[in-house]
Amino acid sequence: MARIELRNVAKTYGAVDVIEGLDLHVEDGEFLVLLGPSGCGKSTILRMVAGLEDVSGGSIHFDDTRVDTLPTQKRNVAMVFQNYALYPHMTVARNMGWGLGLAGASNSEISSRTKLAAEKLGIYELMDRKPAALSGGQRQRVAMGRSIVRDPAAFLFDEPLSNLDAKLRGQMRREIKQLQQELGTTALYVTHDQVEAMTLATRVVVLNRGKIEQISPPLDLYARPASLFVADFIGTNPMNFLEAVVTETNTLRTGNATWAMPDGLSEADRRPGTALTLGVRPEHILLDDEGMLPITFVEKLGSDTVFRAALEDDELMVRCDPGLGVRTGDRVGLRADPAKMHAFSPETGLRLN
Amino acid sequence: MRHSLLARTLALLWLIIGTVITLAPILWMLLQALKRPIDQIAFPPRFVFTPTLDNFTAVLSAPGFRAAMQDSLIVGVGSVGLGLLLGVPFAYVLSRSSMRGRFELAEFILSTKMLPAIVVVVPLLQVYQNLNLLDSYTGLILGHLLVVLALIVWVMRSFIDALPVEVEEAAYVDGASRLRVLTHIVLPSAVPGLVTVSALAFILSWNELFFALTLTGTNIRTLPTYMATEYVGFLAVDWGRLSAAGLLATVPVVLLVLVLQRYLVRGLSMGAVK
Ligand SMILES: Nc1ncnc2c1ncn2[C@@H]1O[C@H](COP(=O)(O)OP(=O)(O)O)[C@@H](O)[C@H]1O
Ligand SMILES: [Mg+2]
Repeated sequence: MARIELRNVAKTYGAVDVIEGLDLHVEDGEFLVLLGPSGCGKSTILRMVAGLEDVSGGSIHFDDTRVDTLPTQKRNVAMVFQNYALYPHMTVARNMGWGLGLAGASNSEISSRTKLAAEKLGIYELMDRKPAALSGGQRQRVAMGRSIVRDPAAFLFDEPLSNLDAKLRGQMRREIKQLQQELGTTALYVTHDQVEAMTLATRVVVLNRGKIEQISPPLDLYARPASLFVADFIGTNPMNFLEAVVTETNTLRTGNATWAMPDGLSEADRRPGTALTLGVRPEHILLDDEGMLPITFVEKLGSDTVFRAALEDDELMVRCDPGLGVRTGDRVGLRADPAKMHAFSPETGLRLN
Repeated sequence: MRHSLLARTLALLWLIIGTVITLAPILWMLLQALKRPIDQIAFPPRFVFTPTLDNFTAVLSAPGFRAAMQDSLIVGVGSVGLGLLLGVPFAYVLSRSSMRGRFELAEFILSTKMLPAIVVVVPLLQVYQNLNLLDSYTGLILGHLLVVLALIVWVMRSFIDALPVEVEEAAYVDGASRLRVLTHIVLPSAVPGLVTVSALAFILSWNELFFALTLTGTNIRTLPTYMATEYVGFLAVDWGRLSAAGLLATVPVVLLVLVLQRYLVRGLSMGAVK
């Protein structure tokens, strides 16, 4: 088990900077999730920690040891790949025990530790099978088993669940979380799936084009996104963004609609005439009976209803109680809770309140 | 999936036709090998005759035939062994490296198969003369290497391509050295490919006539050269013995395929042989 620290790490492929000056640390025993869209450099970071890619600049440390100069074999990390990467010609038992054997463990130790891990993961009866004879979920478990038998300094996961169907993904997510809590091993987990990030992480690192947008506990990511990018990326239904101007009467004006002033804005940002980007989540918009805004589109999902209402130039997405029975063509009034409104700078895209 | 009766009948018919076309020459060889000379040249051909094993005993008791079988075996094993030694690491590099020009290199290797052997053989003769390689095992093994190397490289490359590179990375993470990953992960998982390509390459060498005929003389005679020179005369062909020798020469290949059948089916059905 170890604390992982990346100091000013950079990665370039030829003339392309994929990662620039990244500072990041994973506490001992923490479950840190790297979240970001495809191609933003998540795998590259993970592979540099594993030693499968060299760093182009900066350094990586496990506790007090500098490791970026060490080969992969000396780092004692365990990695779970998206395609599981099981050894195709070995049985499940050999797949899990092979690394132990390389490290010099005795046969009896290998078999007892392999057995323990297999029982923990519920794959003991598959021990003599080859990977080709396993289902996707079973392969995933074997890949997990191969990681935990070795008692590594850290678990590295590269989108381990994205090849599974939705139901199995939820189940494996819970099992990974439980296993990591039980073992207390530091985990660095890469995904583009926000649900995985929210449910697994102690802290989430949101990445965009190789740069960190925000590091925070999952709920803060949702409640206080640090930038437009994060606000847009997090949330099941995408946040509504409106270009707004501060009025003389301490409200915000977007086209022909008026909004309450969001909480937490500085004096300077509340000066009349200031331009802001206003962000409101569909689930935080409240309905008034009296109103002028026409509903253009309704989706009934059962658990809730999502509709779109037309503003002058924009459209708002609103999530409401299915009992309200809204219909296309109805006219509604909408308002938002000032405590749950987000304001961003139109220039920098950073959070203002 | 269930196919209609018509489709199944057509498929079966096609299989029967294919089998007959493939096996007819072998059957004809067998008939010829079992006939006495007078029956061999009868026209119209005779299908009812008194069989004899004379041809087989004559071929088997000829010391030249046994020597030829031995030479073929040595050259086949030698060229396949050397081919694997050179071709498998080559295929690995072609499959895994990001070196510029690797595709062109692979295509160049393949293009050697498009060159008619006759173009190569004249300069090769000169080279062999100077290097004293004519009529030697080394010489013919090197000649056959030209025949089998492209096949080995291409087939093995597609087998190695089929092993995700993450499997190798997982082995590094598990603590394995580069060499160990090659010997314990890459090669074992490519066994069906190795077996398939070895068998195919061996058959190529076993059948090869042109290089064998030009690059060897009296010291070394592989089966195809032996048969072409021993039973095919200027004026007459000894059909009976030629057929018997031909059948006997296919026996080792048939045995090889039978023994390796399990791997071959896996290897060929991977679609790796292009
Ligand atoms: N070997 C490579 N050579 C050149 N560019 C690469 C290489 N590997 C990754 N990249 C580039 O680096 C960027 C980040 O890749 P990656 O870390 O795989 O993203 P992610 O895992 O977040 O989807 C991508 O734009 C990708 O094209
Ligand atoms: Mg990736």
